[in-house]
This record gives sequence, C-alpha cells and structure tokens, in this order.
Amino acid sequence: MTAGAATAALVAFAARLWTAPRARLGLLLVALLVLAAAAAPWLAPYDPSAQLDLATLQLAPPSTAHPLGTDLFSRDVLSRLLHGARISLSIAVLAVLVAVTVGTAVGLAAGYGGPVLDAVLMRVVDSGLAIPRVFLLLMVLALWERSTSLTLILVLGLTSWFPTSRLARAEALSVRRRDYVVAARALGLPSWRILLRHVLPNIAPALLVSAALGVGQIVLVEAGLSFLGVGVQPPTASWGNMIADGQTHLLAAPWLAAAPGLALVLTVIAFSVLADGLQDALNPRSS
Amino acid sequence: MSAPLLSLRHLTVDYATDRGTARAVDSVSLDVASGETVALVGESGSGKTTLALSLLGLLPEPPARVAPESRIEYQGANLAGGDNASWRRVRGREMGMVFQDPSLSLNPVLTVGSQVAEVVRTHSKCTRREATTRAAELLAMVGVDSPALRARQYAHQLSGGLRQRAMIAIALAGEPKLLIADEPTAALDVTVQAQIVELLAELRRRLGMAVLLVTHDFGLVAQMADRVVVMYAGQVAEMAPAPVVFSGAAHPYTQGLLLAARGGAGSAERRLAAIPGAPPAATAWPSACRFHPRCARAWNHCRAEAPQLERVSEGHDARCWLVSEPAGETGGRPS
Repeated sequence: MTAGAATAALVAFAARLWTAPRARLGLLLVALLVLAAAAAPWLAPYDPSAQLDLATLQLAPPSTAHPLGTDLFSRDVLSRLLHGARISLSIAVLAVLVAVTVGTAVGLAAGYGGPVLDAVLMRVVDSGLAIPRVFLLLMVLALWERSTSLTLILVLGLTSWFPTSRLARAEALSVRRRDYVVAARALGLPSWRILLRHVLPNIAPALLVSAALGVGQIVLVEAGLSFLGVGVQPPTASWGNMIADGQTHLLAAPWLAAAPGLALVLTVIAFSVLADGLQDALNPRSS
Repeated sequence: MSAPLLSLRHLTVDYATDRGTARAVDSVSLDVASGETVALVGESGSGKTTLALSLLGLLPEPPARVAPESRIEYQGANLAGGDNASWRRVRGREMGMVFQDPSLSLNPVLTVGSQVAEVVRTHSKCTRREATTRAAELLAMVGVDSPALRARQYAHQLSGGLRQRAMIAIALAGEPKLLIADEPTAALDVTVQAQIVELLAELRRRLGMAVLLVTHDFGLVAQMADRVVVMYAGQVAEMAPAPVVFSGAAHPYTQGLLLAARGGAGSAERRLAAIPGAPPAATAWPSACRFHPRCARAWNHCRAEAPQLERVSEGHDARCWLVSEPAGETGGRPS
C-alpha cells in the first residue's frame, strides 16, 4: 500500500469512528487527555518539581494562583498532575505497544502454526496467566537496582501480553477458516504472506479494541506500582506517587490525593469508552 | 485420447465427527482431459465440494483425512499425501479455484487489484508495477468495466457479478491449466448468473483450459460441460458425455435431477418432479444401493446388494442394478 492510500484509509477510518456516538465521546476524552499530557510544559503554571516556598506554601489549599493547591514540599499540584499525565500515559501506551506486539506474534503463531505449536504456546500463556501480575511485577521491580521508565515499560509490557495472545489466537483460528484465506491458499500464496496480508489486517480491529482497554488498565497498574514505590521514582511526578504522597495528609489536604485519583478514574473511563466505541465502529454486525 | 490432465483414482475422504467417521467421498475415480470441461453434479452433501477442496490439498486435516490409497494424479504425478511445498507448486499456477460466494472469498480489507496482483507476483517474477498492469489486464479480460478504477476499489464497493468476475481474474492470475469452479453462480442473481456462465465458457474457449465445474445446476451443465459426473452420497452415480446425459440418463437419480431441473410447464408438474426424501447423512449412508430409500424404481436387489459402476455404453457408466438387470424392476416387485 502506498503512503497516500494508507492516509486515505486512516482518514476513512477516523470518519467511520466519528459516526459512532460512543466512539466519538471516547475519542474526545482521550484526545483531551493526550493534549493535556503533550502540552504539559506549556499548560503547567509552574515547574512540577520546583519547591516554590517551603515557608508559606506548604499544603496550601486550592486558590487562584494554585488551582489544585500545593503539596508538602510546596510544589504546585496542577503542574505535577499535568506532568504526571505525560509520564503515566506514555509509559502505558508504550507498554501496551510491547504487549500487543508480543501477544499478536504469539497468538498468530499459535492460531496459524498448527496444533503442536498451538498447544505449547497456549500452555505457556496459561502459566503466565496463573501468576498474579502484581506479584510478578513487584518481584521483578524489587530485584531491579533502580527502575527507569524503560524497565517499567518493558516489565509492564512483557507481563501484559497473555490475554492479547489468547485473543489473537482465537481470531486467527476463526479467520483462517474464512473463504478468502482458503482462496489465498488455493491460489498458492506463501503462508507468511497469507498471515501478514490476509489474516493480520482482519484481526486488527479486535486487537485495537483490546489495546485501548489495555492502556486504561496499565495506567492503573503503573499507578499502583508507583504508589507502592517501585514504579516511577520521585521526584518525577506520576499519578501513583502523587497519591502516595497525598495519603499521609488525607485529612489536612484532601486535594493531594483527590486530584490524581480523579485523573486516574477519568483516564480509565476514557479508554473504556473509546474501546467500546471502537468495538461499535469496527464490528460490521453492529452497523 | 492422450493422458488426462487430472486423474483421480479411488479418492476417499473421511471426516472424524462426534457421531463417528463420515466418508464424504468414497472411492471416486475420474479423469479430466486438457481443455475439457467436466461437470461434477450432485445435491448438497453429496461430497462434491469436499472433492474439489481435496484436489488442492485444502481440506482441514484433521478432521478430514484423505485415505492413503487415494491418488490425485496431475500430469502423471501423484499429489495426494504431499506436503505443503508440493501442493504450492500446483496451487494457482496449475490449478486455479473459484469459490461459491465472491463476497466471502475476496478479502474485505484489500483492494481487488492488489489481490489480483498478489497472485500474479506469486507465480511470475515481475515488478510491483508490472503486476499492477497485469492485474488491470486480467480484470479487463473478465469483463470488468474501467478496470484501472475497479482495481483500486474494495470488494464491498462492487456488485455481486463484478465480485465474481474479480474472483475469476484472481483465479486466472497464475495462468492455470485447470480451473476448479465450485458453484460459481450459486450466490449470484439469476440475471448475473447467465453473464458469469457466458464469461466462463468464453474464457475456456480463449484460454483452452480445462474446467472442473462443481454444481447442482443443470442449466450450467448444459451450457458448458463436455462430460458430466453425477455424485450421490459420496460415490459416482453416473458418468457420461453431456449430450448422453440429457438424452438418455441411465440412473434414476440422474433422471430425477434432470426432471427437477427442467420441471414441467406448470408449477404443479414442477413440484411433482422433485426427488422424494432428503439426501442422506455421511455418517450413515443407506446400506446396499445408497439411493434405494429415495428411488421410485428400487426392488429387492437394490436393498440387498450395492451396485458397482457398470458400463452402459462407451464412456457412459452408471451405478444401478437397472443397467445389468433391466428386467429386475418388474420381476422383483412386489416386495
């Protein structure tokens, strides 16, 4: 496909998405979040890690100068929230990218590579799913000397691909029986080509939906890890470590935990609505 | 006659099902000569589609299993039991296949032209640009209007007839010597059916390729076939040159199919011409002659012993006791 055709296809896809009401809402919410995160350096009124005035601005309540108040170190909460969105969203999106890539590769191999490979790979996935993810993450991250964003992305991504591989496999198993795949085989196309050109594009919608859901989930998991102190390390702001900072002053300064908490809720809702909308827009049976 | 292009010997296909083994194709032997059109006729469930898929090694195995004694000889070489690499040498470039429903056999997310070009490139060394040009030529050859424009469209933007034309272009992209067409008109409107039949007949003349036409439509058979093979319950019931079938079918099943297809002048007669009963299930073929429960002319012998394919005349065989014992029918009754 040429670049022009790809762009045209993308535009057509966005147009179709826009016609589904839930997809439109999801897109708007996600766009808002992404915009806020991307423009954080310009939107944020202060430097997120600057200690403004330890003497007078400790745990200051919301005011016009600081719409969401300040924290114990007199840092502006709104600025930290915006920069936190940047960190949390980019970690989640990249981790989902890793998870979907690995999951799709494993799922396609299982669904198209014959019964033996299928059985082996699916047992691996079963054992992966049997270990609670949070324990696995805690263990791996605790063993790491100092976790950077990259290790966090890899660890989150490589522990989240199991459900995606299941989905990719199920879709591949169904698509491989479709007439156009049988026709492609009948006309002598090589297997890898059938897999990449005929199977993969037809299972992509399902993968896209699961990826959208995955971003919401991973934002939560990352917040949980940062809350427990093994995720994003202070002073870098992440919603998780902001909530952790806020919990000690829950009564004195409730805005400290409430702001990142609400941001998290909003993010998870935005991505679930987007996933639902994608499902509506991409499922030919629903239109 | 020279050596046939395709020669099946004792082709047997079993399916493992919950209710036991189903022998969908039972020891079928038939030949297709170069340039010849053979029609494979039968009701749903008679095994004709299974047979067509087995010719290109496309059956899902398991549950399907081609019996080891089966031979699928293409230009003298046996394909049955071969690996994927050996199948790929014949798929597309020796034998092309057109499927029943073009709205299912075209990929919804790829343009029609890219699907034609892809098969062109698989079978001949050429650049992307040459393949695109060739794809447009092929689309023009199968009668697609403004082929360059159509090539950039998706299957859902084409009418049913155009889709089937595109599918035929894809099947011809590897320049096969044998085209297998599995009910190529069954999913189309009646008016479009006629056009597709005409197209297939014309392409066959122009390209000199052999066609194995899988169908239940005797109208299609009359227009295209040189020879007819009638299948019933996984077996060959009758096999004869097309004119012979239309003038003097020997098997009561073939006669029934012809009557049902022609019908009478009035609707009442048409209804009378239906074959009573339903096609049997492959897990439990009737004993002895498999057609006897539905045959108006069955007698004791038909219920006791399975008939073999018997020669009626040169090139005409039928699996029916009436061929060898034409008097049995009256002599055996009442039973």
